[in-house]
Amino acid sequence: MTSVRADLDVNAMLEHLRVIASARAMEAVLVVQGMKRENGRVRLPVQIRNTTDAYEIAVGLQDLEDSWNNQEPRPHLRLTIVPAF
Amino acid sequence: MARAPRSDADGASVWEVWRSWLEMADESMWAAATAEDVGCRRPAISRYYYAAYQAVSAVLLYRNIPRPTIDRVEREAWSHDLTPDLVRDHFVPVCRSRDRRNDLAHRLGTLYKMRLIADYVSSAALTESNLADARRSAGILVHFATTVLPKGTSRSGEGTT
Repeated sequence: MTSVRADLDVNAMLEHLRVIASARAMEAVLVVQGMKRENGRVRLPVQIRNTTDAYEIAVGLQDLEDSWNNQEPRPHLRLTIVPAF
Repeated sequence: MARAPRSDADGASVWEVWRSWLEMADESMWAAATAEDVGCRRPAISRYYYAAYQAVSAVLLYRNIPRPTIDRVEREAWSHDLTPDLVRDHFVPVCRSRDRRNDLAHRLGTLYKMRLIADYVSSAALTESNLADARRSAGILVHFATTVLPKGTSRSGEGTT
């Protein structure tokens, strides 16, 4: 049952990220096949396609990560985004 | 960005050194997040700072900025106090906007001050907001370094091609 709950959390997280990216006109590709789960934390590679500016990519990725982690109440599943290319 | 030379005077590969510093940054980010997850706010802030410092150092090493020498021994990286100024001065090829370079440098400087408080000032209260700020600034600096440096050089690139 734990894995079912974890899968639901991951799906909710991915959907949340897609909604936020879309709302901000950010072409974010969530590289789900590169995702890793460890001790209640997900490490997710994300590629931003509509800019090549490193500063904009860095801030955009962090905005996405913060939009999940800074929710109230605090999500059980924590997120670490890494740049994908 | 101009590529760093393959070796320095000691024969050590500068290429490998910056790569190692980026990996150190990646490990520090994960360690910081793990500390945060188990409620260790001070160690988390401290590790978030080091993640940012190591990521910035990786870019400076890649750019082959002259490294400091102490007692005739060349150090691998620069002092914590000096590094934000190096961001302002030497990140031009990777960040042309002065305002953005100043923002990156300011984030690193602020993180350093927060890290000193986290490690040495027992009377200071560090809030959840401080922790979120540290996480955000470290994340931006590590993402920036990972984006501007050649790819496939840290765990960040695993499984993403």
